[in-house]
This record gives sequence, C-alpha cells and structure tokens, in this order.
Amino acid sequence: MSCANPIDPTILADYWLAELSENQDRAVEEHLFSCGDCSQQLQSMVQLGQGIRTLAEQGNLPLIVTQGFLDRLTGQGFRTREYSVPAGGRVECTVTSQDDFLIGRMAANLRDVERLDLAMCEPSGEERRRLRDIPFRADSAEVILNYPVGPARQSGPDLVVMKLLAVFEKSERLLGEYTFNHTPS
Amino acid sequence: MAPRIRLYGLRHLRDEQAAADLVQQVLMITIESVRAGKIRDPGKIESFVLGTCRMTVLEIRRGSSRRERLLDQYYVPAVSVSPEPLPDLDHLAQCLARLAERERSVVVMTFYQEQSSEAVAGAMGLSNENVRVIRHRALGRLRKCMTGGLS
Repeated sequence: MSCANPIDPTILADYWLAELSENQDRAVEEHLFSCGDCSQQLQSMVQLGQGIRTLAEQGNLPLIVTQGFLDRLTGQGFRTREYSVPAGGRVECTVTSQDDFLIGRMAANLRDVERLDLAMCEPSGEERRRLRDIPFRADSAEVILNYPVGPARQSGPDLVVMKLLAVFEKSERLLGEYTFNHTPS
Repeated sequence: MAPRIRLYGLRHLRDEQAAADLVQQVLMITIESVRAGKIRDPGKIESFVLGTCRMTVLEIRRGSSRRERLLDQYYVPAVSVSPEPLPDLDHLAQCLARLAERERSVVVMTFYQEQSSEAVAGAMGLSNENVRVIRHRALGRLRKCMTGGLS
C-alpha cells in the first residue's frame, strides 16, 4: 500500500455502514476519491460482505440468528423450516429439497444468564460440538439456531440432543435439553 | 473513476442497478463539463466527480434526473463496472467457521442486512460499543485468514 495516510479499517466499516457523522463521511469520501489504495481496501471489505451474505443465503453456516434475520429471509422468498422445542422437549424433524433454511428454536429462561453455551450431544450425552459464548437476548426467552441445511439434507436418521448451558467461572448450569429426531424426507 | 463512483452509489443507494445508473450519469455529466471547458484543471477532476456523485444522489432521491437529456446529448454506453468477483466462498466459509460464535453472528447479521451496530446490538442483546469491537475484531481476523491462508 502506498497511501501515506490510510483510512483505518474500522473507519471504513463505519463509513460503509453509515455510522459516521456527516463531516466524517465527507472526509472519508474525499480521501477515497483521491486514493486508489484506500478505495481498493473498501472494495475488498464490500466483497467480503457480499461473500458473507452469499454464504448466509446458502443456509450452511451454523449460526445463532435473530428474528429480524429470519424475517428478512422470508421477505426475500426463502423458505425456512422451523422447529420450536420447549426445555425438556423433543421434536420429530426433517428437511426437504424445497427448504432453504433449517431453524431450531429452543425456549429457555435466560434471565440472569451472563454466558451461554450450546452443546450438541449424542443421546448418550457425549458432546459432538459446543458453540461457546453464544449471543442471546436475556428477555427473548429463546435461542434461534440456524442449523446447516446442506448436511442435514444429506444426513441419515439422526438423534441430536441440544443443551443450553449457563456458564459460570468454575461451573455450568443446564437451562434446557432439546431433542431433535431427524428423519430423512 | 468508475469503480469509485460505483462504490459511492452502493454506499448511498444500496442497490447494484442504481449504482450502475449513477456511474453512467456521473460520467455523462463529467464529459459534458469537460467538453464545455468547465473543468480546466485536470487535478480537480476527482473532486468534481465526487461533487457530482453527491448532487446526483440527491437528485435521484428527489426523483428528478438529468439522465434522459444527457443520454440524448452524449451517448455513454452503460458502463460495465461489473460487481467484483466474490471471494473464494469455500475459503471464506472456513474462515467464518474459525471465528468465535459472537463474532460470526455479528458479522453475518451486520453484512446480511448491512445493519448498523445499533441495530445489531438491539437484536442480539449487546451494547453498541461491544458490537463495534466484535465487528472490528472479526473483520480483522477474516481479512487475515483470507489473505494469509488457513494455517
């Protein structure tokens, strides 16, 4: 990079997401129009964002999502298959070739929880995978998981026990177990 | 200049076609101005183009446009500032998988809807400042992973 005074990547992200003041916006734009290097940096960030959006739309990212994200997907014509499970509950589930997204909603009382993990376990209790320190809203009373749809489509019968765990410094507390019994369509 | 105009258009209009139209319109106005001798100092062309971008976006938002008149006067073919190719998606998916859960959720929620930190914070139960810190860290890690390989 040959720019003597490159724009900090944080500022570029703030600019792209319209989080700067009007004066800051103008200063960034003046620099971008006269600087090929910084313009290219912004272009790279925009491409990264487009790549992330494309991957998100493919439904294969294991991801904690928000209701707004789901609303946007359905608004764009994507088909989501959702399963809602209460704590201690079990659901029979499947996924078809017409489904774009596979969503699990797990109900839990999240008040007073500071850190939350989601463990994906065998029926025996052995952990397959743990999503650590997942984001959550304490007042939402549920966690929404985008389960990778592609692998689920190709999977044979599978029983997965999800566990929501409140994590403390030296211990953890089970908030709920959710059993998903997947059968191929 | 066309790629910079396109980026400006995407940032302010959030629409690929509108950004492509902006590129065409701004280039037409620039040609018109150069031919009319309104831009004598070549060193000022960048600030002229930026000023024209700003003015044109305001016009587009107001619903008025000089585009048709300019198209009659100067034929500028639709400028093919094609969207840049996407990054290697398999590689990007692996890089995303390496992020912490919060980082992955924050960058996806941010870039899927091009949401501000305030909007993401409200939806995810985080503070604005926390979202900005997480976003900054995640973008840095993604950039490093994308350019430096996965090791």
